[in-house]
Amino acid sequence: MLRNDGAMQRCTSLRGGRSPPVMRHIGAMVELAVKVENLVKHYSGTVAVDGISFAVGRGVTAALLGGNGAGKTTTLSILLGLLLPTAGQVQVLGEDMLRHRYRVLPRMNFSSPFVDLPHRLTVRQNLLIYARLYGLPSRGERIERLAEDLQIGEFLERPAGKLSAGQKTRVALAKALLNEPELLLLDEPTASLDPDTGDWVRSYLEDYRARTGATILMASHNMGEVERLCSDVMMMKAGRIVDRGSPEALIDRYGRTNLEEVFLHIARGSRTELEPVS
Amino acid sequence: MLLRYLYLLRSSWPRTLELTYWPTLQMLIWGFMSQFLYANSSYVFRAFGVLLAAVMLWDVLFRGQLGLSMSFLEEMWARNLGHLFVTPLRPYEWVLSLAVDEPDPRPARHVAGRTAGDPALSLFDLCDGAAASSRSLPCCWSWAGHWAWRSAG
Repeated sequence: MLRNDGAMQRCTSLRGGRSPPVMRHIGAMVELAVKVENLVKHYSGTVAVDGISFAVGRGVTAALLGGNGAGKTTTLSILLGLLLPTAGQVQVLGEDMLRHRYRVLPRMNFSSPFVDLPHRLTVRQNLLIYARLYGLPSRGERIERLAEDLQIGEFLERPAGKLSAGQKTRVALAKALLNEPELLLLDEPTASLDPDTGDWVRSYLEDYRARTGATILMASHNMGEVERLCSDVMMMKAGRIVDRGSPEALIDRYGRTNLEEVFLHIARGSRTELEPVS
Repeated sequence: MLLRYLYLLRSSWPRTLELTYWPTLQMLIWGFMSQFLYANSSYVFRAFGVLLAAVMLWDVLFRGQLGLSMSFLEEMWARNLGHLFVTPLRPYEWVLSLAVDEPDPRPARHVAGRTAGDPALSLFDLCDGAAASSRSLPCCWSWAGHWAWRSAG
């Protein structure tokens, strides 16, 4: 289903003929895409994020897991610079996010089913505007290629408000991949999608990471998705990271058969004796 | 961002009509009245004409403010702000795009050294004929304002 012909060539040309991203990332395997230290966020008395620390290497797909109100979306928002932390340090792609946000923003992107595109504008108009905001050269060509890759060509001229949930998700993904980001932040990337479309989106994300060497950090409630895509999982509860590891390591550690059981184990408080890990 | 608001205006004719109808009507009414007073009355009435012109200009500002607020609320309703603020768009650029129309953006686009992701491009980088269309409305206001000012003396 996925069409990857000439993908590497496309990446290289998009980034101005520099070395292919995969090679750059392999060469920089020890580099960190995200580094968070003692991050704290208070909302008028409520502690949303309570002194978490973590790092995500480049080229890795990592996930923040946790129940509702665990602090996943707040953490992502701080990483995007949408929220200011109450305390702590955030480095993204080697830059201090609090001081040099505008150096990093062109190199990252974000997608969430809970943030929409303007309903009255067509999909093409929306993508064109975001392509301009990212200052992309050959915007029309880039949109056509993404439309082909993500199979949104048939509704490019349709208003964004008249799309189905699956179509909206694919359009949001197209918007998130416009600038071929080195760091892609995803909040529930397959929420409200049918299994077929969800599987298709997961395949596309796997392919994108393999092709470009990008880092993907996602917040999700879909354990199957996390097991399939992620090599690093951070379990959050009440604003803290209570455990961390690969899906296999977590399943082994808790003596369970899948990540969903581990999630339930932690979410229901069976492991309250756990100290936060950093 | 200017292009975004142009697309929005194009897709909603009631808003475009609302934005143009009342100021045009008021300009015509008060403009003609001011001209009449200027031509036929004493010094006091001329001063009154200036006052009427001020009322007229106030309406232009009022409609402008209404348009700006509507554009802002539109972003809120569309839940688009989250996407906008993770782009290299700076808040002042966004506010300017709500309020100002760039007279001729083409020279800015060709400044050497601007590359992908350059935040300075986001406000002024318009092309594909959109700039000409987006200029037509403010030019119309500019002309009407000039005419009204002269009428008012």
